[in-house]
Amino acid sequence: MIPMKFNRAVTVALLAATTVLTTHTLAQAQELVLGVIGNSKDMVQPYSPTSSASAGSLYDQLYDSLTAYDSKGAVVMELAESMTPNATMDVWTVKLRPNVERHDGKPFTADDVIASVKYMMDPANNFVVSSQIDFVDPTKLHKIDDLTIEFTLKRPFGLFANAFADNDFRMRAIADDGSVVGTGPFKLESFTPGQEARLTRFEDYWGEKPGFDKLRIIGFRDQQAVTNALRGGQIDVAYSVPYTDVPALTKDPKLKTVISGTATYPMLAVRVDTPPFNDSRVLEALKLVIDRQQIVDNAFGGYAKIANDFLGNNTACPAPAEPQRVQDIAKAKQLLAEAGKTNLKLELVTDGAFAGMMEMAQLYAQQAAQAGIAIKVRRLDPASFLNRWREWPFLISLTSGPYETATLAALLPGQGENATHFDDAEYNDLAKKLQSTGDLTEQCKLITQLQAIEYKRSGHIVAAYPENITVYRDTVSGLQPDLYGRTPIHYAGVTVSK
Amino acid sequence: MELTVVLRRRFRPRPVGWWRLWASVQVRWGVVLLVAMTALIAIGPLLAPYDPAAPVGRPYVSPSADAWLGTDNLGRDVLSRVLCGGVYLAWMAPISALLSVTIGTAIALVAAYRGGWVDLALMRSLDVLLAFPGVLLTLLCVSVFGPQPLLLVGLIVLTLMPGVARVIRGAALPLLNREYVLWAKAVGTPGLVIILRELLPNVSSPLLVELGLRLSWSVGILSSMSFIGYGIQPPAADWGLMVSENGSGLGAQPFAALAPIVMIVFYTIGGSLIAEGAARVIARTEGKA
Amino acid sequence: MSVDSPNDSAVIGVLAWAWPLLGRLMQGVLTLLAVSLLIFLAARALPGDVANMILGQSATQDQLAALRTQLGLDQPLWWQYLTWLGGILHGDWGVSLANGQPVAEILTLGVRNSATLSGVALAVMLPLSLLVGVIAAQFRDGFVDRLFLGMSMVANAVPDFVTGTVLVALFATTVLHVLPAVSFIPPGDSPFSYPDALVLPAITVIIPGVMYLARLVRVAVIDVMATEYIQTAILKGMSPSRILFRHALPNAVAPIIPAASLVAAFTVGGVVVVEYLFAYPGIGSALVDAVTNRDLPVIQANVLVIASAYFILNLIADALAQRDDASTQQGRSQA
Repeated sequence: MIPMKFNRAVTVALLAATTVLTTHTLAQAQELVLGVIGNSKDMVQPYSPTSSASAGSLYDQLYDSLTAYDSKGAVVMELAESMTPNATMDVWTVKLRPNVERHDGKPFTADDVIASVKYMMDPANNFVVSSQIDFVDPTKLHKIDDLTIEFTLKRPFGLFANAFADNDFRMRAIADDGSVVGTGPFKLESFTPGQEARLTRFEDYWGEKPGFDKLRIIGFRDQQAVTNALRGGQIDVAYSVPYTDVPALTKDPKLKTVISGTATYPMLAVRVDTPPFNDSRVLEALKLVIDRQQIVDNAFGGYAKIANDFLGNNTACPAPAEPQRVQDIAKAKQLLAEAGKTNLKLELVTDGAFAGMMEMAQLYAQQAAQAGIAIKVRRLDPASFLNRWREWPFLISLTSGPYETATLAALLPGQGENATHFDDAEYNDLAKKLQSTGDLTEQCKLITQLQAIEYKRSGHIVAAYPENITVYRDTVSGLQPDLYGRTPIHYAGVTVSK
Repeated sequence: MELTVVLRRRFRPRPVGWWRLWASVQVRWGVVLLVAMTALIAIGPLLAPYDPAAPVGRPYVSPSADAWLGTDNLGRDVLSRVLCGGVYLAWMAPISALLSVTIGTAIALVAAYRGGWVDLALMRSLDVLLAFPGVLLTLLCVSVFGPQPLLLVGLIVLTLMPGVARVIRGAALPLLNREYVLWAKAVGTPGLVIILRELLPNVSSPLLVELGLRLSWSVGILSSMSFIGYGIQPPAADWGLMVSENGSGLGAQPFAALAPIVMIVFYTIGGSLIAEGAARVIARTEGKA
Repeated sequence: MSVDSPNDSAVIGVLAWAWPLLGRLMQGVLTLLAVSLLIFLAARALPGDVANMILGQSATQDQLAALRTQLGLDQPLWWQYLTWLGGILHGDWGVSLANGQPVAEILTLGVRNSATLSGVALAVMLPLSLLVGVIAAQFRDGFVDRLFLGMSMVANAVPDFVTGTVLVALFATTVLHVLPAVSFIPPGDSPFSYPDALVLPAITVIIPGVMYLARLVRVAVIDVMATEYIQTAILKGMSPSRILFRHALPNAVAPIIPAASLVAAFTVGGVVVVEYLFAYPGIGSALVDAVTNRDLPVIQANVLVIASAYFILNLIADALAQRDDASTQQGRSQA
């Protein structure tokens, strides 16, 4: 069961919101402008097959989920008030929060949840991430009353609330005129995919409201433009900035930063089912050539922590008791020699889409050269990269999201995200156990065990856990650190004064 | 037969010789600048104090005694990267310029001399090439084949060659009505010989203008390609790439972007000076005619 | 193209250049057809397709195949091309495969923004190059003239992205903060509502343009001033400003008009780097975005527009050059 300290939190939040509102009604309409890299494939409805920073920024304002991860990584209730399983964990009863209003003025009910889940699960709608909730049987969603739904699952599943907390599974409703409406803190005014979304605050929002009236999300074509717009004062908040730009940005007295952990970061990945990487000595050598401190300092500008080749550094659970790998060129050379793989020649591909990817690739190539491994870095455009996704033997991959959903999706066999083709019997067993337990302490123990296996055998070479840096203008106040990098798009209690 | 020779000598004007182009101050300075830059590029890697690919400190460190021009976005030595960063330009730009001028001139002279359908077909095919957006061509080829240097050269040639052909054809057309060409035709001189002996020498000045211009433009296109990410790939040291990598750090460490900019500008000015000088020689010659 | 046989230039009047123009138009249509076919094949040869881009990393092969069927990407190539061509002939540009938006809408936005940028740039560029060229000619071989010649050589040598990068640092992000660094123009608005957003991209286009055109003006003015009738006018004691404005200038405009339309053509097709630098939402950005997405109908439409613009401007340049030749001939025969 999920701890339910929620009512108190809501009361506090509502009080805070009222104070903000009363102090603010006298001021004129304030607008916050967010700059993000735009994606022209974005849609208004939240089950777009494409996930992007610009779509995420929009959805976070328009829609809510049944559950969510809070800024410290714990699962909290949102549109749901409680989620209760039966003894065998294959029937879950979801009670909805009462008096939640939709943007079209109607109440949000069980019918909306059922319609949303059915839409997500329908293969015709190309909502690919629905594989993460494949335990749900869309034909067995039963409405008990307006605020209660019973989910009968295909198999026992303990991480029900965690799965629905993933920010892909937002709830929507269809208005009478056929348009898609949400329940989030902002209503949509206008939208041009990849370029601009204009929103106004939803005054009947059930949660803590933002301290400003209007929000504009501008989609830029590249990171450079976002940074320039921030420095030139055209946007108030940048969704992301390159790590190497941070020193220049912090010199500007009008710019401020919030630094927090993040669950989204790049790592090196090799196909463990393909030579030469299927040789554990080669894999170990590739993990030993990295100068992790240099990656932290030079690829991430010092805004990172040294990592130890496993994902999910930000779970609330203790890290596995494995020794920290450090650069050991002699050992790496020896291992390569034992494997008969001296003079390795490799091609490392990346689409360079995420801050730090190109930098890490270049530094790694340089470091590996010391052990006689010749690495050629190749940057591809996204379509060429995706075209051979899961085929590239050596690539820069990206993890994003909580361990129990995103990481498992990248390390369990048969998952589309599993680019390393990792298929480890021990790991698979533990993962199955993790998915079917509801006990938090037990979950933690399992995650730590899973991470120890990753450290030893997975094809992920994780050099650094970068931090998330949000840079904003001093006209904005109230942005909060967030473990999942949502600092720039969470506006509860945020105010603007221009 | 002897008569032909005599007549030809009489009717053929003296072409603007290479020596007259060399007499131009601009041409000389241009050549000197290009030779100097090429020499610097050639010995640069020997002078570089550090490995251009290896970090020597934190990113964007200001100039110091250890790193005279500071470090770049990855903490690499800017001076070493500038010294090593012209290698690609130094061979790719001249080859692209030479090839586009050679091929363009060949097409132009054949088109002008033959006229009619040959002319129409050749020039319209070039129009197709011109109307085909260069960016798309680059994007396409680089995506399919990867950013191979020879491919980039080919792309630049395809982009620049139609322009050369148009100019040279324009310069060659009036020559067709000159007595010496008409005479050569009348006595049955083979077309190829007319093109090589009568037309080509008389377009030498516009040719040199084009060569200088296209050299400048090749450098511009090559570095622009690197700048937008479809040219020379990291971690190679390349001036255009350096501008793109360090452009956003102009406020923190201006030398990382400014140093390669200065190098690109010097190199392109070399080409421009040659074009300029040649154009002035033409203007003077025509003025006297 | 220019006058090929002496017979053509002997005939003066509209017909003389209307007939070849008609022929050129026919050739133009064929050219565009060839370009569109090439682009279609080229874009299909690119690795990856729009289904990859829409579904991203989580997609399975089955999901990809299903989406390809939905989008009609599994049809034979020739059928896809002919369907598209048929649509165009009926005035139907189709819809974007990436987001379902009508292509016409995407196209209108890009064309409007690019045309505005090119228009503004040309509107400043032409008078400015006349002015600069005339001044340089007046002070021929003097300090101003030499300064201009030197500057124009440097300006022509510096690639656009260098000019742009330096301008952004100078006026928007690093030294001064007076102009927007990024030319964001909201999709519903006209670029004219954001004049400050046009300044830096326009300047980046204007500088090399002026430096090139002013050179032609300078030479033309110098040539005209050396002609007999101007020399006679000077001897007769006509005022220098009258000579300049009544006689020299009209003659100096002639050579730059065809050159200007070439510059305009270049501006339309070649602003990609400038748009990239300033994130200006023009047709170049739209094209690059469409290529990234492998969005065929949008690629095709944008290429067709760029190619037609280039072709028409070229045509105008040739026609003007031709008329100019004809009138010069006429003028000479009367003199």
